[in-house]
Amino acid sequence: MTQAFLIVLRLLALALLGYFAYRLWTGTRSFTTRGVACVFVGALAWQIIAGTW
Amino acid sequence: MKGFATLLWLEYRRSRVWAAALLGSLGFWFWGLNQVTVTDVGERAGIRVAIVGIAALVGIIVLCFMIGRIRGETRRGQYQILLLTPPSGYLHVLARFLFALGVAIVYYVSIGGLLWWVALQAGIHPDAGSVLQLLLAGPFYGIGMILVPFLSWTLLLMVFSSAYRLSGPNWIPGIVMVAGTPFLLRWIGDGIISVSYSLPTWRMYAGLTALAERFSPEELEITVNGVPVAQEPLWIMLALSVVMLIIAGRIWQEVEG
Amino acid sequence: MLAQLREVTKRYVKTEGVRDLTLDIDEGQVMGVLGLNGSGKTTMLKLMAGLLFPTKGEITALGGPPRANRARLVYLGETDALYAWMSPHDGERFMGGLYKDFQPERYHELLDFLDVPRRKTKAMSRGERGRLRLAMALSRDVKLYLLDEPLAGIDLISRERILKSLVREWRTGATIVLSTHEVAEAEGLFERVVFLKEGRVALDTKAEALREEGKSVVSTFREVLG
Repeated sequence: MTQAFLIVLRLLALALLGYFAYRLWTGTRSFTTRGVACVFVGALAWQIIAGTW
Repeated sequence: MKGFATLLWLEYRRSRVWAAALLGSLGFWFWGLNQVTVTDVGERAGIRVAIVGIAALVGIIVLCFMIGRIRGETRRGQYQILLLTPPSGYLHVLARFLFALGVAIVYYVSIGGLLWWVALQAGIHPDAGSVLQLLLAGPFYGIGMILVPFLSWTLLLMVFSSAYRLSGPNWIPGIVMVAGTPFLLRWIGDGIISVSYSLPTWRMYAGLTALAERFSPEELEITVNGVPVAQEPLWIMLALSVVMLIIAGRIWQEVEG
Repeated sequence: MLAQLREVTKRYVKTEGVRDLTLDIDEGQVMGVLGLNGSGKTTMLKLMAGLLFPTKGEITALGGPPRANRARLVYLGETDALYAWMSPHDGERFMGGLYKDFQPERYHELLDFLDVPRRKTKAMSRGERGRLRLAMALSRDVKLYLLDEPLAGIDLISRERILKSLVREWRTGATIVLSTHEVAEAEGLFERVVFLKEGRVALDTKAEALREEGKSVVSTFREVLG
């Protein structure tokens, strides 16, 4: 039950992060800014997927 | 050169109230140290060292606030004016950073002076080498390891956030960067730990570790010949700071106003 | 050709600021950009100044990308953006330190002409701050001036006097692109008038041509922009 709940939580977190990533990518034309956004989004995505909760 | 000097002047004019408040607070901290009237010498010294620690932490917070006001400038339109000035984004970022670093050096060398006073009040008379380490080596190590990365990160955060004109939730860039930083820091920390102590260590505060000997309980004989400080964390954090400043400058060059 | 726009479009997330703008601006031309609020005047001037980058199309100013040539042009935005602690003296320090083409004597003459008080901007009215910004802008000797609503906040009586002097006395020979939504001010002022509507050029004409047709800028504005 807890496992299922955590999986759902991870999916929701990933979905929210995906929305943030979309806004960060489309919200600027600066490639360096997009690169920085990718680094932090990537760190968060890794934590959501592979980190211990 | 004249342009960069003008940017430094601009930073001084923008931030002098903050800088004056921070440097003026040294008087407050010194007054606070004098208010500690516990009779036990060791306890008194310990409380005073804690107060100095708080002063050091406050310095980081105030300096980061001082340097991180670009977001407000974006809202008020001043960022737009600065974007169209001849100096490059790298110089704008560097000027802000160097001014804050200058204030930090004065503040933290003074903090080192406060620690020296605490030691003297505890009956510890450090030798000349230890005094120099208290006033210079220690503060500079702390500035390089902790403050410089913090300032660089704050500048990058502000410039990164200001690169966006999001309709709706305009806190997204800040939240993503703030939330992502601890995880990146953990990986960086793991990396630093794995390479630390590969290079020769620096021995600091050899004269002051007499404090540990003097105040250690009789049953615990502590003999310390200085604190062995690893150099790798300092160089890695400084290198990361340089990278963050360069990226901040690059973003400044690329953003729209 | 001092500046060129070639099918320039600027797209925001949900709207377009300007669409398919194509304009050639000759050296020494005094050009007015007229339009209703939201017609794209500010977007066009920001694109020409290099503050914004086009989504499509190409812009050159002074022979290259505007941002790369920012040291050689003046952009005066409509935002009231001076630092609160800045006085005219600080303005001189700021401009003189950053711009090689800044002329301190001209700056002081302009401060007097525009009646700018010698105190910090936080103690100035909006109109006084606007006049200080104008003095700072016009004290630079450049070939291209981009002025977005330069007289916003300035009282009616002063506006006409300042505007006419601006074009005729302070920067003769320079290229001036000036936007205003006070259409009546444009009469007799501009050599060329561009009317923007919903981000596009609705009409691009010489003022003389309008006069020959017996039309005024005001009547043309109403006709073109409804």
